[in-house]
Amino acid sequence: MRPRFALRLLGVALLTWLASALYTVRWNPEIAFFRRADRLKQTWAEQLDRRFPHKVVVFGGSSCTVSIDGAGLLEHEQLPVLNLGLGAGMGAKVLTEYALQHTRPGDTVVMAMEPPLIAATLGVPALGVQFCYATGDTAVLRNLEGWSWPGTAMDLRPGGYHTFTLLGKLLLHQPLYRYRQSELQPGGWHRLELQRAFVPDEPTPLALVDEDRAWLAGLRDWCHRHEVRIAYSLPWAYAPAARAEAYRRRNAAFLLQVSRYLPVLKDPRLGVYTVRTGFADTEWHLIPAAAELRSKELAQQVRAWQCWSPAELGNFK
Amino acid sequence: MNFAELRFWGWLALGLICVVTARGILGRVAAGRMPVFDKVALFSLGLFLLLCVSWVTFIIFLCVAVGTYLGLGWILRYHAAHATEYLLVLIPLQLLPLAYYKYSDFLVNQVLGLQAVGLEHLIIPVGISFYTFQKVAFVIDTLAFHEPLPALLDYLNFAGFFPQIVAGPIERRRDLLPQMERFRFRWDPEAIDEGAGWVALGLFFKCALADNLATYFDASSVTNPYLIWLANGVFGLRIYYDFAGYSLIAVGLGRALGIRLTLNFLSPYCATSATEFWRRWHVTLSQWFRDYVYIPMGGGRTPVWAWNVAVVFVASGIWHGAGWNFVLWGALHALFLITNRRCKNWIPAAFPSWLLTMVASFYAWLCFYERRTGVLLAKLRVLLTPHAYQLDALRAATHHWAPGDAMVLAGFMALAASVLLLEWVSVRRENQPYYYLRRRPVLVGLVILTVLLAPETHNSFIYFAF
Repeated sequence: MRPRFALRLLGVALLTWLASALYTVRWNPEIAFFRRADRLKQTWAEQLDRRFPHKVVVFGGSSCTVSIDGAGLLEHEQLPVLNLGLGAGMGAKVLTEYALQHTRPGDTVVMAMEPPLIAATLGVPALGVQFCYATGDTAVLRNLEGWSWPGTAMDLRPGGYHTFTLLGKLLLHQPLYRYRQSELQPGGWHRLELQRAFVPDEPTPLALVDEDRAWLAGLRDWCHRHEVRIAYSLPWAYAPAARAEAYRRRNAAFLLQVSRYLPVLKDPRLGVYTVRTGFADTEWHLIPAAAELRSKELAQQVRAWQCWSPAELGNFK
Repeated sequence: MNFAELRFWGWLALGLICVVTARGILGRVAAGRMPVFDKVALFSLGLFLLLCVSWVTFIIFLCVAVGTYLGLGWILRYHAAHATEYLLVLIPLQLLPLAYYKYSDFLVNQVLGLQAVGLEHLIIPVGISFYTFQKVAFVIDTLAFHEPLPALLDYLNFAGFFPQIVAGPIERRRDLLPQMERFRFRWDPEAIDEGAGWVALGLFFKCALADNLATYFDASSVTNPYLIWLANGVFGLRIYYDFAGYSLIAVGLGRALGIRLTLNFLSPYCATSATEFWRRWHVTLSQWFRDYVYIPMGGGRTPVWAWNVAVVFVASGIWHGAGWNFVLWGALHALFLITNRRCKNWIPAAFPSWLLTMVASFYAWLCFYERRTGVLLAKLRVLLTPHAYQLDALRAATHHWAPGDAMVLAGFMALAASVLLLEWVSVRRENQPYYYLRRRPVLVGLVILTVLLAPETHNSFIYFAF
């Protein structure tokens, strides 16, 4: 005799997981958006690798994706730039591993990751796992410490947040994902035209913990071993003009910590951009005109390769 | 031993495979030794799973368990005539690890105001409050009622039955020990089916409800009564689904192994009085305090019964945690119970009684999660201040969450409310908690919801901290 009901429950759980996994990697609108972004970035990477001996890889979360126009920089600045930014929800480790996979010896890598992603516990969020499975690029996961098949396979489910917001959107006849695939441009840039109200975060201190420091040191060593030049560039974020100084001081303190492990490109703005209309739907997402400015300034900084010294950053206190 | 982690089920499966394999081999060479083997295997499985939690937990558990047995054996052997007097020695010794790990910081630093830095960072071994209380009850039952000392192996299985070791139910000698004495690994499909149903329900409570509600628990507001009530509501639902979830899984695992554990929760949010609430919430702890503290003090038949109730509930609060907030939580519940007894039948209708009971219970949850005494008192005051309930505060509360988050929170609250409704119907119609939730088609639906809704990150069970 078999415990039929127990086996049935187990079977239902397995089937539900399979259906969830299939939905996640095939039809989840957010993952479909990133899959399309990945295809465009891969194509652009192949083009650059064919045409140029070395390229500049810029990576980070969504602030990077919407800020750096790779194709524009190639056309106007003759700088071969590949924007490998994806979504901050994938976590710093997945974003970095994804970028490193596309670098070759002699390339320049610019980490333009949102500070809250670095100054945090560096887990591997479900979105990062789902993206890797959806693109078939599980090598990204395998390179991460503590990786396991069962652990990551459990992340191939929608979860409560996704399920309920999806239901809400279906009921309210809203688009299933807030961004459209047509906004994705060659070069990896996400051209974001919309403008919505948002409330910027308060300038809370950003402190690296031991795990972050070890990870940054490991990244520096990897780049050194693979003859890749790396620097950090602070993404631009909105700050009200009246509070800009507080944001700059906070950012300088953060960069001082990062500069112990990676060179930090000398952006005199210190990541602070006070033009409210330059932002789309969050304090991190630039509209195309502002993205053009950010791309241009970044290109100049990469060319000049001038970095902040600890003393300079310390002066902002 | 976190039932919500895949790792636990992996270790359990591995342990059971080893047991089944060893049984297969032993069955051929020494079939007569099988009963002893089963008991050894069950205890080894429990120790192995406990070791997977942490070695500190493992060692402290062994010290308390073996120490209790040796102490009890010594008393019964050499001082049987004065056995009851020796309770006064053995029980404090049993409580010593609990007192050190859980209460030394509170007593030394907060009550006495000394500055013992080393005590601040003590990590409470998982389950220490639960298994210590179970062993204290075992000692009292054995000595006070002149019960014999059980065989070591049976006692160890009683003390270390893995499904209930870290968060209860706190089982009594008369309920669990005879089952352990008869224990055999048996292939019983009916029991496994029944156990699977409890496990599925428990996992749904924990992973789909408690863990998701935890994401939306925000206790940051000190002045907005609507947000404080919302935090109390989310916390009250979360702690129930979290702890009841654990207890149901424990019951399910026990059932699948042929052991009947006590149902620790009997749909407490269906209670229509404070007294009924405590008959349904953490049943085995309530019974423990009733039998070993309340009744020995004279119970409810003395003129000082209100004092007895207060002592029991303040002690119950302190059992949950070392802090003034837990003392206040216990005192509030004592007040509710005393009022309930004095004003019995003042509200004849069921719905207003239920509503009042829920308002009181959720009001008290504030003391459970807010550990900063000053902030706690301020929040308690705000909730009782009528003019704090202004339209502006309500408007601020409705804008507290982003639209997406508000939608998700509303979804989970609605799901939790639907589950409570099914519990209510089960209690009122069938007089069996969880009756409708345990119908097979409903369980299938709950399994689907668990897989779909469980968040990516698991929270530890709240009661592991106690």
